[in-house]
Amino acid sequence: MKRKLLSILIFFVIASVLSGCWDRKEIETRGFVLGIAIDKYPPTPQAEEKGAPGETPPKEEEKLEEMEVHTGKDQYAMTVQIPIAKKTGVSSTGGSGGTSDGRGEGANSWEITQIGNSFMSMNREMQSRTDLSLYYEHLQVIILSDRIAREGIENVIDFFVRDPEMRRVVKVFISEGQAKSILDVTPKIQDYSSVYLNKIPMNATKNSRMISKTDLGEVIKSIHAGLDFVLPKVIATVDEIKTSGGAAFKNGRMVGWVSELEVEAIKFIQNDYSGGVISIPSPEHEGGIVVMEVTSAQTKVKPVIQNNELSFDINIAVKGNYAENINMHTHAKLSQELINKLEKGYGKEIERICKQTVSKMQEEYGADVFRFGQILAANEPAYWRKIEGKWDSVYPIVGVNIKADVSIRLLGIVQ
Amino acid sequence: MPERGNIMASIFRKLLNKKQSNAENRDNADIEKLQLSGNIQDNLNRLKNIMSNSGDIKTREFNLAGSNMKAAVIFIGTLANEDMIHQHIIRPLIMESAILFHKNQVNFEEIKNSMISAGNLKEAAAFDDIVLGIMSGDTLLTIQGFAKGLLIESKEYQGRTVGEPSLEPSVKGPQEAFVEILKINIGLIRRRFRDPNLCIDMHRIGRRAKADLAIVFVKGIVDENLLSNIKRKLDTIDIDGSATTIQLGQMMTERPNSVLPMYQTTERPDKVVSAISEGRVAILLDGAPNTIIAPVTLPMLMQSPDDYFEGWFGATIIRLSRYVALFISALFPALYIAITSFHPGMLPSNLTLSIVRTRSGVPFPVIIEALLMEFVLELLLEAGIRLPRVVGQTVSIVGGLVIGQSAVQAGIVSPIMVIIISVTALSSFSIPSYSLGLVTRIARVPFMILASAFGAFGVSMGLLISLIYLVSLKSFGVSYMKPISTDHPSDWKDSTIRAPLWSMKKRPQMLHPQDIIRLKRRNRSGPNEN
Amino acid sequence: MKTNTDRLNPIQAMTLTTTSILSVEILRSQQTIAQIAGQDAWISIALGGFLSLASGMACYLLASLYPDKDFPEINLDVAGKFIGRLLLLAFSVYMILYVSLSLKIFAQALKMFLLDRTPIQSLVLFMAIVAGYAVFKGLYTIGGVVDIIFPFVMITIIAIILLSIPKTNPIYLKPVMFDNTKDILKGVLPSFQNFTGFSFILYFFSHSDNTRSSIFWYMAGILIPMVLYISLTAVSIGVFGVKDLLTLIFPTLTLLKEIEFPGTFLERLEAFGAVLWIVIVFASVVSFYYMSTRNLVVLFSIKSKYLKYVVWGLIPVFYFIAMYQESGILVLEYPQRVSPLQTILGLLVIPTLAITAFFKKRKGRSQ
Repeated sequence: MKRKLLSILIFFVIASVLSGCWDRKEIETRGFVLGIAIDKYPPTPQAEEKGAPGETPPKEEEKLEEMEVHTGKDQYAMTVQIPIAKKTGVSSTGGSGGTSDGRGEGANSWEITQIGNSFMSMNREMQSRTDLSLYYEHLQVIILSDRIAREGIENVIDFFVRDPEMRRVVKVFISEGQAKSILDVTPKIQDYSSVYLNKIPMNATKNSRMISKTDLGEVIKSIHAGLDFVLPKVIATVDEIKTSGGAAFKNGRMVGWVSELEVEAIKFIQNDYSGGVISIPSPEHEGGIVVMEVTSAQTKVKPVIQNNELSFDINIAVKGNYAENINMHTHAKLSQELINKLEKGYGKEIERICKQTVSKMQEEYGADVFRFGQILAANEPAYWRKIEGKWDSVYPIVGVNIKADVSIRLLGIVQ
Repeated sequence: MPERGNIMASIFRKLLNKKQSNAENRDNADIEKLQLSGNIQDNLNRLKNIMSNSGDIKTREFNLAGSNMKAAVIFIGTLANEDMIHQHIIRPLIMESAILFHKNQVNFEEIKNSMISAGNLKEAAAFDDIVLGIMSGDTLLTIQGFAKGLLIESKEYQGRTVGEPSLEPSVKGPQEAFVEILKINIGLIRRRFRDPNLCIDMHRIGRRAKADLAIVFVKGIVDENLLSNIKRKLDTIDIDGSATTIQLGQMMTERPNSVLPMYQTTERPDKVVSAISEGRVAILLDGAPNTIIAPVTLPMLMQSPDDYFEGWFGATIIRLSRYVALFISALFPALYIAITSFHPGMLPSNLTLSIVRTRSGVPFPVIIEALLMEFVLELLLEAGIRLPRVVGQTVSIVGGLVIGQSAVQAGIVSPIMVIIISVTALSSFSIPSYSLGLVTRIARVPFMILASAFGAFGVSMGLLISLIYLVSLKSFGVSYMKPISTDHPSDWKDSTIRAPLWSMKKRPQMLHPQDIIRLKRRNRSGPNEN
Repeated sequence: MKTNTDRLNPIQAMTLTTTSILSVEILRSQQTIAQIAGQDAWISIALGGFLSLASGMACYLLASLYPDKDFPEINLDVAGKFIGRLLLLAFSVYMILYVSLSLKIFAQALKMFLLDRTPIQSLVLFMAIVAGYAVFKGLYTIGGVVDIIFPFVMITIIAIILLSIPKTNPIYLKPVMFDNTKDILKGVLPSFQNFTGFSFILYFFSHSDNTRSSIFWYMAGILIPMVLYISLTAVSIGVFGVKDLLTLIFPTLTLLKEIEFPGTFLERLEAFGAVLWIVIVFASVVSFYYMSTRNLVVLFSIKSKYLKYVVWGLIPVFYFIAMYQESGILVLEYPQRVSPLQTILGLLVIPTLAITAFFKKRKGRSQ
């Protein structure tokens, strides 16, 4: 019996090894897609984006990029970024040059553009242009052009959610203008623009004007829950990338840009603020600026229902350090009185930007990026039931009271 | 099994048995029937005959103390201490006992009690006793007119002196190792354990070789079932020639085909002492510097003597890292294969990209590359053992330079694979038990094959299979994974961790010791007592 | 399945109970229950857990009335030859179905997350053979194996939960119990289904050393997975939100993929997770496998020397049942279809048997 068992096991192992290895694929034969940029195709239908960085590609390349489709017509141009392994090796001998991106020798990555109307088919069509098999587990960023975003992010995102190779921690960015141009950037200290861009939002703990929640998972969650959200906007030059402000989304469609200061306000209200800088004019010195480094901010949003009238109370408790003064010609010790004044001044400033932002979101965009609806549903479920259906019309006129309470803790190492 | 066995083999075996038993019967009949006679010449001739008239048999005939009473000694010159025979047997008999012969008539008892100054002797009449005695270095004194003789112990074996342990070195522990002579070995144990309950049960093994064998245990601690189990197994062993300790161990276990060592072998007396004081049994064999300790479990093989010469905290950390080494040694190449060729998504992106860089241009799939390197590594090891020490340097040069450097530069293997294989090799050598280290080296290959067929799933299935196998394995009735999987939580104190010695108040209960308590509460010197 | 004198100890009783309860459901139970009870799914699971605690208590009492018999034998003893066999048949069918479905769902998860192109047949067969090997080696071996994997399983699940906490947004769990009491109650029975492994108590009780305090170990064996299920569900809802959670087929695995520690070597926890959820499923499959063999052995009064044929003979049965439905979407619905059987057996049959046995014994004693 034992021998029989053993032989069955051995047979099974051998059989599976010989016939098996169904999934085995050597690591160097995979093309690790690091970044995806999605643009609208054709690029300029009514000369809409005249100054777009990308010019119309030469005819010859376009031949490769087009594909036959089953239904509909080409709508999207997807660009993937694949690292070129050989060239970045330590002891490589001379570049082979002449990759399709046309940047010649020093290129670390290869950007393949494919035109089509569904991402799965574009993905597979790209396989006909490379000997690597495209693999998405290491995808770092997805960049969508603002035209795609305005049409609705939900349309394009399904493939990236459904495919098990995709991770929900992939960062999503909105580019102003052509998305592909972001991938074409070669950062100075990184080989791949995608990896570089992926790491930038980590600095959001230091800079309050950057949006920290940019995960694909976050986006899907919000779309599924019917919530509005903000995604970071990315702009680029030839060798630099910057995330600057964001794009506000309502019902999965981009409704407009959000400036950096507005992002700061949104982070305050969402209780997402983890560090940044606020400056106000000095109350005592003409032309002086005093700067505070915010160390922590706690925000409480409370829905208040009075006489069946809905409003939100927002209390922001900010703690910070006195960081810098500019153009204040004094060497006197900072008095408690001055500190108190400053605390009030900072509070006012925070209230001002928050109020401004809230009213812009309410009136101009109608996007509930602060998630008041969610807070209301969680805390006042009975009331929420009543107005759930007409929240879109309630939101723009709902009253918001903002109060910021600032306290300064440290003055740095000089008095 | 036997009915399935090869017919030819069984016929052959039968023939062989027949032959053997015939020869044996004749010999045995001769020896068993024979008793010493009163005629010394006759006795000597017969003994010489039985012992094939070998050249190193020495006899000396003489008259007792000037009387005309004839006597003779017979011994094997290469085994016995001739000096001792002269000083303590022949000299007193010829020279010094003349005064006793006033009656010119003397009886056997008187000779035995008053005339021989040798320390250890016994009366013997049967030839089989006598022959065995002479063959092990004793001297027979036979006296004209008496149908019995005296078997006087005069063994002096030549062998090396107690040296340092070579296979199981330790940093702080005692630097003594067993030698080939049983007597010295038992002495080494006794010196460390002066309990009168220390029991040394002598046996002989081998139908022809008749080697001395000692079962060492502590009465009152050892589990009687275990002891009788071991004795029963020893009795059933039927072996013709001599056996080494390893062969003996293999013949005694329930699972002789197991790849894992089912008994522990050691050359360290301190290890044997701590084992028997835990309630285990040691078996010493004359002529072998290795001792068998049974039963053994996996965690015991992972212990090193140094664990007990360090503070408990350091010892625990080192022991845990040894377990990590065990896993690395068996699994690292397999995991590398699984992750690179199946799930590269599990690695951090930067690491993935650098692996891709090192792999690009390597002509083989990872599995082939790994098997290749593994094979080369085994070759290097084997060559390192076989080569004489003088040329041993060559191996490291060839291994280090050619395999490490040139193979990478030639693009046959990737540098990362060299790193993986070296780390694996290092890990397998940090396992204290050589046989266990060998098992991990063997186990690596099936794991690699599973990994290349099913990826991480294959590896975890392989782990489960080996876990099931390990748990179901038993060494002399003790489950192999104890005390990691245990009935007695107190046994955990000396498993993957090593608790402070004062806290290990009980003996390992998986061995079912009769006396459980190792430390009495009063004797303990815990952290708060001095 | 050799008979030997080895006994399991109370701690092993706990680990065996826990690992048999932590089944393939741990990969997707959050989704199933959240479908019914929304953001309060964890309350349903808690209630279901308490129900199983009560039922487990009944198991313990029943088993302790017959300290040297395991469930199939007790069953014949209490319910009589005919009804007993009938019940046993129901149990056997349920357990065989359960093993097959677990294997299938597990293989599907494997295919989805690890082995894209490997045929599902080979995955199911491989797993079944390894499980068969464990069952063949006997209960004591299963106990030993579970003993060793238990800490790793616990550490992984707790690590998943703890590492997900920073990602949770408590607002997704609110409002608690607002106007959905009915849904919560509806979710109780399906939640109870997650705990179905506790019936293993009835099978190994007679093989373990039991003292008076061992009931606490048995109950701890049910409580631990209960706490884990509750917190895992709460965390999943907190991370994904109910609406997103409903779209995920294997939320636990998606959760595992979401956890990253940037900058460290083990940036992605799933490498560990992958190995360990295989082990978790394996442990529960083995326990159900063992139960089905015992059931069949007693049901058909098979002599112990033919036991191995039962063990190995079950593999093709599992295989064909697992392969019967090819559509992955439908397979995921099967456990719910089997669940009424489980509910009846767990909530009605076992307590009834326990009560009957209790009175029978008392009657016997008073006579």
